[in-house]
Amino acid sequence: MLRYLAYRALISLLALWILATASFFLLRALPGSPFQTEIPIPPEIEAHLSHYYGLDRPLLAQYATYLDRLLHGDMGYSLKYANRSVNGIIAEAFPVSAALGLTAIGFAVPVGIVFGVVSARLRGQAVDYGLVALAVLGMSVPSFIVGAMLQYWFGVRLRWLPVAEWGSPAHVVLPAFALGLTMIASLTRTMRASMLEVVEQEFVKTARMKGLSEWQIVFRHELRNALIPIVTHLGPLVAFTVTGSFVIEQLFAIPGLGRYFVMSVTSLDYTTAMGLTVFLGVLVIAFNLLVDLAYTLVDPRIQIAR
Amino acid sequence: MSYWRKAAVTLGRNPVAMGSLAFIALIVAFALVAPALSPYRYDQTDLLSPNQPPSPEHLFGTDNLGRDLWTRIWVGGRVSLLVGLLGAIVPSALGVVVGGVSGYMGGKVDMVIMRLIDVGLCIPQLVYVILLMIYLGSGPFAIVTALALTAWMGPARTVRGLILSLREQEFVLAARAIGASAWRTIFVHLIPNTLGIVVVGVTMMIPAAIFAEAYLSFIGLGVQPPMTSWGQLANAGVQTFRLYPLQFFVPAVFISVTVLAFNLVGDGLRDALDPRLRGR
Amino acid sequence: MRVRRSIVCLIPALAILLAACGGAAGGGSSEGGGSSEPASETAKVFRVAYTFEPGSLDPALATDNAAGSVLYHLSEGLVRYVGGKVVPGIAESWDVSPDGLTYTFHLRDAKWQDGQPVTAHDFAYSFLRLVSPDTASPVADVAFDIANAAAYHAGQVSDASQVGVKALDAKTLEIRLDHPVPYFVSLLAGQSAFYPVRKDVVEAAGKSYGTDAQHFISDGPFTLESWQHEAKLRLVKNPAYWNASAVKLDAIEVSVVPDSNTILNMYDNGDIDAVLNIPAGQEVRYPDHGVRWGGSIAFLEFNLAGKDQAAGKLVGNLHFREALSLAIDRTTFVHTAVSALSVPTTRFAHPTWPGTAMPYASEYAVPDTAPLSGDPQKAKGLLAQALQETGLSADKLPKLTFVVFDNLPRRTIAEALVETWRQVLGLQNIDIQTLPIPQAIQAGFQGQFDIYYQTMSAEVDPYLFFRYWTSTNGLNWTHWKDATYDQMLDSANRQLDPAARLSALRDVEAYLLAHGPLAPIAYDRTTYVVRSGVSGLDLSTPGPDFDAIAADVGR
Repeated sequence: MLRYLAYRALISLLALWILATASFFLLRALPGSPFQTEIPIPPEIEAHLSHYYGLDRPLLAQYATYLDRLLHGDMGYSLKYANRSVNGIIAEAFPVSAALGLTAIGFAVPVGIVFGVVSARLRGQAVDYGLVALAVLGMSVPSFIVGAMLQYWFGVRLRWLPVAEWGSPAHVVLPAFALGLTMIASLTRTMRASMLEVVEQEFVKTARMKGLSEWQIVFRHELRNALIPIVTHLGPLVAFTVTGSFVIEQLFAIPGLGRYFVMSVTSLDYTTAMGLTVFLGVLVIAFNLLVDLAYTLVDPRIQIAR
Repeated sequence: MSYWRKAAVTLGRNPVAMGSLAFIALIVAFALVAPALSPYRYDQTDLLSPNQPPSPEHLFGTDNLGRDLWTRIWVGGRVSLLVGLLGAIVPSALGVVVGGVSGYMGGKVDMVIMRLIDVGLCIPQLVYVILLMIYLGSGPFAIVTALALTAWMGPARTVRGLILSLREQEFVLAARAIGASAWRTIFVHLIPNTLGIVVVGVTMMIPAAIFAEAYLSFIGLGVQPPMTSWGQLANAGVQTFRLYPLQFFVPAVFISVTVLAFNLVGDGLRDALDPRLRGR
Repeated sequence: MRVRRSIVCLIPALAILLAACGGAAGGGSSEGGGSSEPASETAKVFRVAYTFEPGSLDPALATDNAAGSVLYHLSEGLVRYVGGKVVPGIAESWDVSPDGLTYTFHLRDAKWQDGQPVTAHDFAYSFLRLVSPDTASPVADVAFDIANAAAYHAGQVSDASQVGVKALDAKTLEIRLDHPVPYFVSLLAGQSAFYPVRKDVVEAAGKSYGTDAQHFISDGPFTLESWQHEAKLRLVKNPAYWNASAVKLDAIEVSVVPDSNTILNMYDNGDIDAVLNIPAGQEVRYPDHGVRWGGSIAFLEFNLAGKDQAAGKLVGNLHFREALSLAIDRTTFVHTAVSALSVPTTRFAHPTWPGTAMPYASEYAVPDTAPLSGDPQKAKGLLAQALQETGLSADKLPKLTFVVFDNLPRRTIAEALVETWRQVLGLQNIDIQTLPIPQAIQAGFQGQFDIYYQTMSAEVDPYLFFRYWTSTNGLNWTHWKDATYDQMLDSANRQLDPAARLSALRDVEAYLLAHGPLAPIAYDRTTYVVRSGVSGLDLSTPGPDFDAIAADVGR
């Protein structure tokens, strides 16, 4: 196991290097200047800024500097937010996105799994149709519309919860719910499909013949196997959710990472975009490692370590 | 009867799926024909009568430039349906193949493919999309290409996870024991067993693809104006939803109902394609 | 098979664990807001929202409206705009030499927030820092009228003492200009870049000056209490401000709320006291909304060289461009597709530009300007003329590319214009290309467009707008190079008599309209709404979006 982990760590470092390299060159392939805003600035000023930030040096030299800094854990300074370090931006915004994302996952995952199991067990009955319809509806409405409607009804009309902004637990409810809804919908469907696959398999029939109760069958046999696709989803889902959602953060004025992700790319803030990408990369790789380890828990027959 | 014929018969006996299929066919037919029958072009403005309520002249009313929403819905439907279908099927097919190979081969191949997917998933989708749009030009096919390049990784991971568990099962071991080749094992024995989940995955990706198009349009990278799509229309409508709710609800309902129909067809397909569920 | 714990238990446990970490960090930042909560019950707080946060509060690096408005309340320059007029700030009075080249400012007794006096050295340091090549200011060019400033910025002059800014003593600042600039004092009042900064604080902060509340010092009506990035800035009354008795508010809170519909919802809910910029169309929901100038001019730019040679042949033709411009019924188009409150125009004469006795626009008329409602017949005739001159046939016209930014309002504008040209002139060869802002501007600089929808800041004087279209200006990407225009503008700006200067500038405007690469569209106006109970708030001030220095909040 230890050897396996060391091997994975090596591979992960390699993957991060590829990620850093690919994002560097892809971002720099985008045309345009990061210093231009809606009202253009004169070319001589732009040239001066490019020189100051070292963007006029040969691309490979810039790449070398970037990698060198990255190895020292320094992601450089934002080109958009004058003199704010990318490390600082992440340190400030990540806890916000993570708190919101984990709240959403914290209720969406159990609810989605329960809905999926119930729906599959009661297949063809009214409850099943109801849950499937709910799930479909949840997936048919994009989050910016769900968010806007939640904000309007619970914030403006009913005045139960704050319309937007961040700070108190009450501020978390609406955005977390908006984030979690689509998650519940997709988890319910995946879980239902997966349960239906498992129900028909031999070991379930065997268990039934052994005279186990239905609940025992669900919990001891079906659930474990049906969870495999969910677990596969969960790795990247967690990594992406804790790094924020652009739409939800935009709508609810939440100072999280999600907005930086989009704004840094569209405004060509290279350093911020690359820093966030590498940061997300570290998270995704870490969570995927957890997922692969989780496989061995769910299904001992899977051996990844050899 | 062959596997696929049996599946078709099973599907034909499912009234919900067939009803949904008929509904989708109707939507497609209207999208193809309705704009030609309309007295208005979809981009024909009438600046003197913007934001009109529905009337016999304009069944769904007009938008902020006085354009006929009925015509725009059907023209927009062409783009949304095309992007939704291709944007879900192309990446799923790609993902199934890669995930199947990765899961079956295991070991180093699996490791490399999975780490590459990790990398690919981390690069913001926007970067690919902006690059593609700028160098390929922007139209429905550029959007599908962009989606295909980014969206195959999710299905690949799912299929790979399923295959990891399936390949240790008796029927696979049996197939290998009687000398089936790796390709044959993957495509004949393993992948068909994952199709149920993949089909559900595809139906889940159709709305995602439709919304991805709307989201891209929102940041300027969708279909170029004056062409439109359901996502575009919903996006424009949500801005003034408190003043002209209809301009938002009409496209939103079209998206939701169409997506619902795709999902119900998907469920029917799942039942029909699953060799173990069939025949009950 | 020893590990039997289900994964179902593992995930929520992990979530709770991480949420606790996240919650702790989140709680830390919210505590600042929490502790001030009881105070704000009784305190007079004015709350407002911006859709983006200030890029920087370092005056030399601040470029956006949010930074401009926040700095307006945190800082005091030599002069200040109040109610649209320039009034003394730190400078009690000033003298201008007869040749209009030397300005001498006499400073009053004023203090920084830590009690140290504000001196002429602080201003000299700030202005030199602004144009220093080491600062990399994106707005350095606002100071290029100062003698040798541009050369110092470009590195041609390395001795800072050559730049025309000098502190004669602690209370006297002398500024020498390169050429007479009649609106120079307005420029000092309107640009954030001209606020003073203090050398010791800037140097101690290093690169961090103006990035958070700890690295900033104020000499204005308010101080920066806290700045939670992408969330909220809190400004509190500065007791050390020389005119502190005029400030009635205890605090101003500027929230960062990117979605403008969310801002409206927050206003409806009473979370903020004013909406500075109601999205076009939504103002009808607020019957008591106010209207003000948005400060920019919208117009079409034509690329005379064309995106390619074939397009250039068509767009390069003056009559073709005139046909496009005359085809537009600006009154209907602007009110439907731009905003119901924007003002259509066929001139470049912003209503806020001052004349000698009344605004420039009404004092100096341009004869023969095109009618606002357009002239379809004449436009068709001009198109036919253009086709004859270029030898092109109406059914085989080259494709033209109309570049606009990628947002919904610009998309709507482009769709309406292209359809107008189709309906009036029968043109079907114009394609819209929407691009994100950096790529759109790149397309502009590289001439990858035929038509471009441009909005430019109106600034404070006609010259500042007209200078963009000279053949040497870096922002003139239209490929229109006209020696007569260059010469007319240059000699107009050399006139020392204000009336003669403005009259000459009017001739420049007429020439630009008749021969230039532009078609004026509109002066934008925006709408705002303020909660009843807020008094003394001024939203007309050039420079910041709002002036709450004299505002009061009733309870």
